[in-house]
Amino acid sequence: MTVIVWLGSAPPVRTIRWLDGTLAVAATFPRGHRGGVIAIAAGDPTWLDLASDRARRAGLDFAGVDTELQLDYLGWAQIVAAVARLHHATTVVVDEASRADRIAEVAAIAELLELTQLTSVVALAHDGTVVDASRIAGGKAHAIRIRGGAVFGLRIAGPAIEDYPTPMPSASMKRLDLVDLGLDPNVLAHRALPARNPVATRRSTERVADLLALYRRPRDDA
Amino acid sequence: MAAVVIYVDLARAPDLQRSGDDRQDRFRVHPSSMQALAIGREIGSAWGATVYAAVILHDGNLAGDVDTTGRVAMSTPLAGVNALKQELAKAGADRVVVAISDAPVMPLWSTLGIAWSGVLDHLRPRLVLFGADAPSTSELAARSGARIGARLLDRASCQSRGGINAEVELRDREGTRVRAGDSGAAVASVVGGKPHAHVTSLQVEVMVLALPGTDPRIELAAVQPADVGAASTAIVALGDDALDPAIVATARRLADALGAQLVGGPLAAKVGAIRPDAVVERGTALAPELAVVIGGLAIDLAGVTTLVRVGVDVSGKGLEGLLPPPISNGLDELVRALEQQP
Repeated sequence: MTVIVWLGSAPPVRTIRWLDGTLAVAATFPRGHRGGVIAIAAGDPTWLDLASDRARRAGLDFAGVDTELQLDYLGWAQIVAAVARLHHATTVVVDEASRADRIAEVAAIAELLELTQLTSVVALAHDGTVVDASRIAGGKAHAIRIRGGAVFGLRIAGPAIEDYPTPMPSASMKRLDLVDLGLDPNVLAHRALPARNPVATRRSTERVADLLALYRRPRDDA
Repeated sequence: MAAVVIYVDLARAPDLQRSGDDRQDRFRVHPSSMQALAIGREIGSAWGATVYAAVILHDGNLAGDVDTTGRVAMSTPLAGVNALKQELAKAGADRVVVAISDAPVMPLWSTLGIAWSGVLDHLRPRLVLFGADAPSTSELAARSGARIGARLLDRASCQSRGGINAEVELRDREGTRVRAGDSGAAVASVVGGKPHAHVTSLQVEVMVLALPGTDPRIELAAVQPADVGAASTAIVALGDDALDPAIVATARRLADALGAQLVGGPLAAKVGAIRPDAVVERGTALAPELAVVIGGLAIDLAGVTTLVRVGVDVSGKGLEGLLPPPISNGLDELVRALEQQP
């Protein structure tokens, strides 16, 4: 069984703690002559160097897809699905907590690979054939047993890290090309997102209230 | 005519029995789904689209009676569905689609996915809406988008642009918009709909699809309350410098408005500001969708999607809202402004 670990297309927003947590869980999957665990990421070279470095520290192989494309959830999922097919992988583990847009990629990867999905997984264990996962939904913890392949969105933190060494360009990183994956960059570009400026921190009461209003609990009598 | 489909989560949904028992209180629609239905109605009216309310119900007697194409069973008598139909029609649905599955309805793709895919394949919608705070949204929304190749909007609201002939559109905080003239499909989790009774005909059409249910490779072994922090999609966290009774009372109002859990450190529990089981130990990593941190608190909030801090003077990556000291002023004004919003 080959397991693909999708680390995403951009570095974590605030910390690499969740990235490390995902890699640590993935490293517990069995590796041998019938398969392995391969961490992958896509995006700019600086991010690929960081992802490669963290994967190497977790003892995992790493492959990077160097691309300037800025894609939507389905675009990135096509790349992950192509790598998974290349390696005949039916289990994909995704670092879901490092960036908010990653949760949509979990679903898209699962749809493209025609696998089931589990989002918001906070614990995961396996014995080689059966995976036991715990996921959070609506204040409840679901204990779920999976036989066969699935796409898991993990929210499992690694150890707290105050500082980490600046990753150096890795000569050992395996680089994947979109064409080698059977993907046409021109076609994939149809899933490109328009560039957006980062949103500045809201610093007025009204603007923060507008933001929180998006999370206001719907009234029961509504 | 274009279809706008609203996935309806039920807050209470007993198993169906083909008994003819039709008590009015059998089903209860989740309030977030009611908001989505209200937004769907507004968009449907503006765009000239048919508004479908789709709901998945469990019927254990269905096993062996279904295929993946969704057999249409218009005449099947289903206990409680008539009352549910009336409620959804009053909330704005033009048509109601009831997908009957042999799998118990849980907020998991593995139990809902086959039935829900059947509904999507049957209706081929232009726009699919989910209540942002409905239990199934995290599992179904993005997957629905992937299935129909749609754009995704997260916590979008309905907005009108212009005067008398206003254009109604959906817009999320990233600036992604969905308008009547757009090509392609969209899937959105939505907030802020204002449910109200519509006076349109209650003679809505009910379409019942019998669909197979659960993926046999997935077994739900147990369901139990989640640990503090992990359980909540939103938290309001009290720092040790925010334990003044007036601040705590305002923080409770904020938590109540957001449906958030009020958490803090051991000192907050000791002075009775939070429940003993709401203590978050120093260094604990949390990943809720929203965290409002009042004062200084040593917890790891790096996994939070939307982070707002009140009463501190800091900066940092991914900080979406910041109100400087003193705590009481900023918090009071914030809660008042939030409560005054329509």
